[in-house]
Amino acid sequence: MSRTVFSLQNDVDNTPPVTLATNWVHSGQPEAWRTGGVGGMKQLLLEMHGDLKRFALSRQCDPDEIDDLLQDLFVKLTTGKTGPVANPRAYLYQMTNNLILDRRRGKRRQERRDDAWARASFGHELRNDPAASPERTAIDRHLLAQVDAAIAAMPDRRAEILRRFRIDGQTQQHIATELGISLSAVEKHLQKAYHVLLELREELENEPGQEVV
Amino acid sequence: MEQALAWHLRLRDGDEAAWEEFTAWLESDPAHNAAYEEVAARDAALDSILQEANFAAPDNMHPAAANDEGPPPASKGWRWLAIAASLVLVAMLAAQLLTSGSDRYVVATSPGETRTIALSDGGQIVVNGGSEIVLDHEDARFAELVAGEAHFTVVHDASAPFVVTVGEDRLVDIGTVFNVLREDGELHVAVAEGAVRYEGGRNVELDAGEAMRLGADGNIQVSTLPVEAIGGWVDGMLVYDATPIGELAADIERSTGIAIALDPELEGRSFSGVIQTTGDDAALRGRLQDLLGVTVDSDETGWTLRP
Repeated sequence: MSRTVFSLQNDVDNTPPVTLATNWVHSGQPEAWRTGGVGGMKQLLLEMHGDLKRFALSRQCDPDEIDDLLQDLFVKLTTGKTGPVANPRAYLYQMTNNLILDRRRGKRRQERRDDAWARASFGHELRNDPAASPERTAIDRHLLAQVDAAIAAMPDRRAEILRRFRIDGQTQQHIATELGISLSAVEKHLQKAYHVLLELREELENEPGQEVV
Repeated sequence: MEQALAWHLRLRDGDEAAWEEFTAWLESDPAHNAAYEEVAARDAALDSILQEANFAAPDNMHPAAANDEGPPPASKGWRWLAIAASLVLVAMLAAQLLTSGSDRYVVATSPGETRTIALSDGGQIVVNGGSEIVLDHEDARFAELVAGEAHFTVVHDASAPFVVTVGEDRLVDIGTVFNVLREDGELHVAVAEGAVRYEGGRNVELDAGEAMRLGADGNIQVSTLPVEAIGGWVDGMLVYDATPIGELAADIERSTGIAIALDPELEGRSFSGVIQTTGDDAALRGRLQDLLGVTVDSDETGWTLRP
């Protein structure tokens, strides 16, 4: 109602503060970092060593793993190509996080492989490329049908925002500007869209005998 | 899980500050990391599926105006029927009220009666119950809100801005969906999309998600609110955050036509949450009793809320 005064809507309490969100896509970094290339990145990695270590600890990596991780990151920065990066410090956080996620994903598979029941039922399959097995394809078809249905059930605006964000890779700020709506409205649409999609994933995972990670 | 999801969404394009705050969030509770991992893993697992998923063509995704041609989306069919029905009513009423020698006409609603008016330029005005608005057949860019509440979806044209007159003051659109309430000597304006400029004793520019209250004393307060809450009454959804129950009663009265009285003991109380006003009166009465924790007495004059 027009007369009511809000700080945040009930269902988004405890989510990241909206006020900060308006600055997501801006980089506060000096110009040198943007085009600093590999050398600048390595220098920055040294500077950010403490920050990244603290981050990795908060992600519950053990100290040995952290040393490994930062070594991996260093190697990637040395050998990989990095084009101009809008926000190098955020980029290094992102890379660190991706490396941790990759490791955990591998570990999850390993744990499932070690599970006696899973080994007996699907062990041979997991050792090969899971995507190539017919069962896997059937699961994917099932899931795709569910995802299609979930998207069709969304308000048009929400489906469009989801497509722009997830498929086209547009930032939330960009989407908000193009659609002429507030950033917090974009956030809320994405929250609701993802909520539905991630629930689908959960249902599928709870069905017995299916490897979905 | 919801918090983890919020972080997951924010971090994709997050800046350094976002990552630092995320670190602090993880440190605040060891369980946060597992929740985040779960969200990230599930999302990653949807990668290939989402690439193949069927998103409707973006061309079909403009916010629909009331007089758009073509079939409305099936899920919203009921709303379109309601709009179509009220358009017929408005057309009839407008013809009656058309006074000779003037192009202006009045649309008045009784409490509980909502009207949707399609403007010739593609815009739309939804008039809440218990309201009065003056429009002009010759000028689709003019509206005067005499009393009550209306929700405007305006086709922006910088060379001919849409102007809502409210008493001596004007609201000028800068491309726009906005809600205006005039009641008890106060003026409330809330902007859902685009921006509106208030031109009165002084000028105030309001962006999407901003609301302005002009008190009877002439003081202006600007606050922020979720755009989804703005004009929620259009869809039968009243959204509140720490709102005095008296204001809520006035809103329900406007939307439903049921006169609502308040036991003096309830006057200091406020409510946060969402009240759905659609459905039959008995259901609404039940919802009010549950949500507000009050007793709703009903007689021929209306309802009385008691502690």
